[in-house]
Amino acid sequence: MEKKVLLINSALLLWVNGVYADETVHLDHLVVESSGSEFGISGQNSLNAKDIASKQSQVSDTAKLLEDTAGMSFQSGGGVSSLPIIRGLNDTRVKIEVNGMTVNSSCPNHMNPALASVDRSSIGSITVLKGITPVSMGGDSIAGTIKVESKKPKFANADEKYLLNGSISSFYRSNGDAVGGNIGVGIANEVVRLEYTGAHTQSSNYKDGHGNIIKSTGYKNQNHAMNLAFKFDEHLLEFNGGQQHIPYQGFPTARMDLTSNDSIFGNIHYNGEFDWGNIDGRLFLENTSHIMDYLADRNAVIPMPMNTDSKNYGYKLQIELPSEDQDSTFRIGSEFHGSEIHDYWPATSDQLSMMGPDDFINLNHAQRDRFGIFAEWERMWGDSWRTMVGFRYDRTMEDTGDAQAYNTSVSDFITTDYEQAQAFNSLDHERNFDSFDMSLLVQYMPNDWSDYTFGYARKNRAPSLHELYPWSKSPMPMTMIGWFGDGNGYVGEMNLKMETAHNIAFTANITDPSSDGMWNMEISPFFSYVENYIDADLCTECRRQPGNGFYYLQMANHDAYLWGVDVTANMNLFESDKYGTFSTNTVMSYVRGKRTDGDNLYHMMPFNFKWEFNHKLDSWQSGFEMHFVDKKDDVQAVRNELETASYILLNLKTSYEWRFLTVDFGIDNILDKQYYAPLSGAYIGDQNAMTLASSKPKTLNLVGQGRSVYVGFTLTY
Amino acid sequence: MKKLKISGLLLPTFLLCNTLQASPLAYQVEVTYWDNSVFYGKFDYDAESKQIMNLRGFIDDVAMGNVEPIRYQLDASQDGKGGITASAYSMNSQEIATGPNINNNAYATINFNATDPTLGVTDKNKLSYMDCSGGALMPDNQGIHHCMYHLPEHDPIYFFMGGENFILSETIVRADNEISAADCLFNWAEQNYAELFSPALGVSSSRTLPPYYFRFYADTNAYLGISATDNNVYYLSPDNVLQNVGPAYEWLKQANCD
Repeated sequence: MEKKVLLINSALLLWVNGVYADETVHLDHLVVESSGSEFGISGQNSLNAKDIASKQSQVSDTAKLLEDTAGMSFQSGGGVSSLPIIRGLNDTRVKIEVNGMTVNSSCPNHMNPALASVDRSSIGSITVLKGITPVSMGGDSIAGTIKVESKKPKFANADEKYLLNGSISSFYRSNGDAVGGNIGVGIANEVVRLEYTGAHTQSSNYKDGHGNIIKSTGYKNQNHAMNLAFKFDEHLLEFNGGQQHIPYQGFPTARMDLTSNDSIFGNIHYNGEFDWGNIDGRLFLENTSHIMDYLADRNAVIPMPMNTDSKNYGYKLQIELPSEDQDSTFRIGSEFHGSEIHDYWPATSDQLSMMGPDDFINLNHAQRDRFGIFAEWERMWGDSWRTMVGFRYDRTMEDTGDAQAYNTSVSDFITTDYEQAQAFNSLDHERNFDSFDMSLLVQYMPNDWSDYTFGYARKNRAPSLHELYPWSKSPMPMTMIGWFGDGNGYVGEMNLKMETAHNIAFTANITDPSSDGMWNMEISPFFSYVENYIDADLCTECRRQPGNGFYYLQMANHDAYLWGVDVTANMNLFESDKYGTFSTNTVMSYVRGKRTDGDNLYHMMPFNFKWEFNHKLDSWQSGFEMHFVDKKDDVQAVRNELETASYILLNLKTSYEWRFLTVDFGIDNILDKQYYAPLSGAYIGDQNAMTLASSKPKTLNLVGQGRSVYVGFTLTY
Repeated sequence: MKKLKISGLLLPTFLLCNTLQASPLAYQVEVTYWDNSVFYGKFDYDAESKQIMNLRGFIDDVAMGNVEPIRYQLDASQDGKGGITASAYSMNSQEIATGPNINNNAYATINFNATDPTLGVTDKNKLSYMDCSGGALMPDNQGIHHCMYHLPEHDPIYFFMGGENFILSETIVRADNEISAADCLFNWAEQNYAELFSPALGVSSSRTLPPYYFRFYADTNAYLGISATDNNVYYLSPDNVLQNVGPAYEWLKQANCD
């Protein structure tokens, strides 16, 4: 009932906005734009460098830059490591490309997701493709694609001897005393450009709406990147390299914290335009050393080190062949992504003990290699119709070495880790998956103020290494594995099948028919049927389930289906030279997901909408924002997902730009509301339980941040 | 094997004249400690002589996830409050310590009303356990190894990795349709070593002479018994040599009486 009232209210709000809009203004406030340019007719949302810069003072987490995108939601992790979810499909179901590099989380708790590998300050654009992704941007994903690109290299003009540009910015946020800054400097002539970007952010634990400090929410993050670019006519060659150092990051919904994460990356990118078309190619290599343990907030006397070394490497090559009459474009390409994870937990004792005398090996140089080829054809059929059809084949090859327990103990009563490892090692670990993706998009543009797009995509995702190979069914190792923020313990399943999603989506995009372009609305209902959705079941071969609300679970395939709708709308309200322009925009999302056996899917974002009232006068921009999130009561039983109440947050922001200087100021959660974000997860950031049975009962969700005042400045030259 | 020469002819007469014809009953015990760990055990108890024997079972160290056998009853005494306290260990040794540990031993201690064990505990402070096995031993940041435990006299009472349930309970029930482990062992001995223990007797022929629970075999002129003092099995041969043939637990296991 409450949901219906809110939907009606939202509709009324849109209608009222329309009724009282009596003057023509331009929509130049910072909104997530929908367009279909870069990836053909595929619906996409994108943020440009200016949009991103405007949020730098407000957020440190790169993923959170997308929080104004319809259909996007986030599972809270660490302060800079939340996991993006597209239309209810999360984590590794989302393909994330950072500067063309596909990077997977190597940590068994997914503390180093792809979007955490890049600081928001160095990003030039972020593009989100939901559901019906072109095959050229797909592969090994069923939710969609997030493409992150650094700022495009800027070269000197012909009349300039050289170009020296860059920016310096800094921010402070009151809640958690978060501070940070970044610097970017580049020097270029017409042919060569050398650029450096560096960023530092850190925060103490934040406070909730009642003023309580929430443990294990602090973090520190440092990023450095260099770019050397060459431009010859229509050819661009780039060498990128960088390093990230995260000395610590608390994870309030995980059993552990990140105590060190060091990664380096390098990639070479070539883009060339020829008379017959263009070529885009990239080679990349990424290497991460990741360590987990308990940070001080958990008051742990017993150390629990867990180390992960990983590599990602690969290439992507795409050739685009436009027809002579420019009516159609043909794309072909190939991609390889190799990754290796060595996940070992060092012994903490040289004598027979729970964690000794040997190292525990969870994933022994586990390998996941994927090779893919694709072909895609896009065509205009007159002025009103466009189509795009694509096919893709991927082969994913996975394997891992032998497992090892902490010791060689055996027991008359239970199957010890040693015995489990022996059994695991006697099996063939190699698993290969062949997948065929297809996407079909049809767009109808009957007039210049509306277009309608229908799409179908068959998309596949092979199980991840973390879903296949964690082998121990003993309480302690299972407790330490789990990237869902639910506090449960997990074991893999080597016989998982790959997920196959059938995504259907329709998008109606309607603009004010008048030439003034006063308003725009986009409605996108969607439906997905996922065969062999990789979820979890109660582990029947594990030790007894504790009675405190946490469970030992095993990965399992289930068929599932999801449906929902995304709505975005914006409208100009008023404009005058004296008072400036006033506009409003709204983003609404709703998604539901169920398994065919009746249980709900985990972490489905309840109905939510964001409404913004914006003002701009010359170089001064302001916005008032209301964010409503409905209660979450469609929860998953098998994980004992906790319900959350509905809430409304109010935010305020303003920004003034004066020549080279931009100053940002804002207040998040103005009313200091105590709230629980639906997808935050269970709060266990004050615990150091080694097993689920030794955990406090599961009763609390992670509470959201209380009021935070932020200020930032950016100097651009 | 210990041997003790007994003043031969007098002993059978003495024993038979001074023994009680009472047989111990079999009981099951379950103790849940503060950290959620549970001791599941069995024992034989004779309310007449107030003797407990053959306490054994296993500790389900729920907090750590390991399960450790408890085999050797090495201590039993009256608690001064009308109850009996008994302890059994994983190793055939009472040596055990935490922070630091000294070995991989484990033990559990139970307590119950001496008149009737099913009446429950008479002194809760006697209920304790310690698990220093490989599955439970945790080295701290200084390299000191800690056991999992619940020790009422210790500070803190339990190791903080526990479940913090703060429930301490003990339940003792009769093991229905079960003869005592001691009688099970005697029956097994009669069947498998008839040349030593003849004629075959029944439970009703068992006798108690504290600390022994035994049977006398007239044809072979031998005694077979278990001492409640050390829970070892004793054999008194026709030539009156008393032999300690080892811990009862190991014989019970061999006789499939465990």
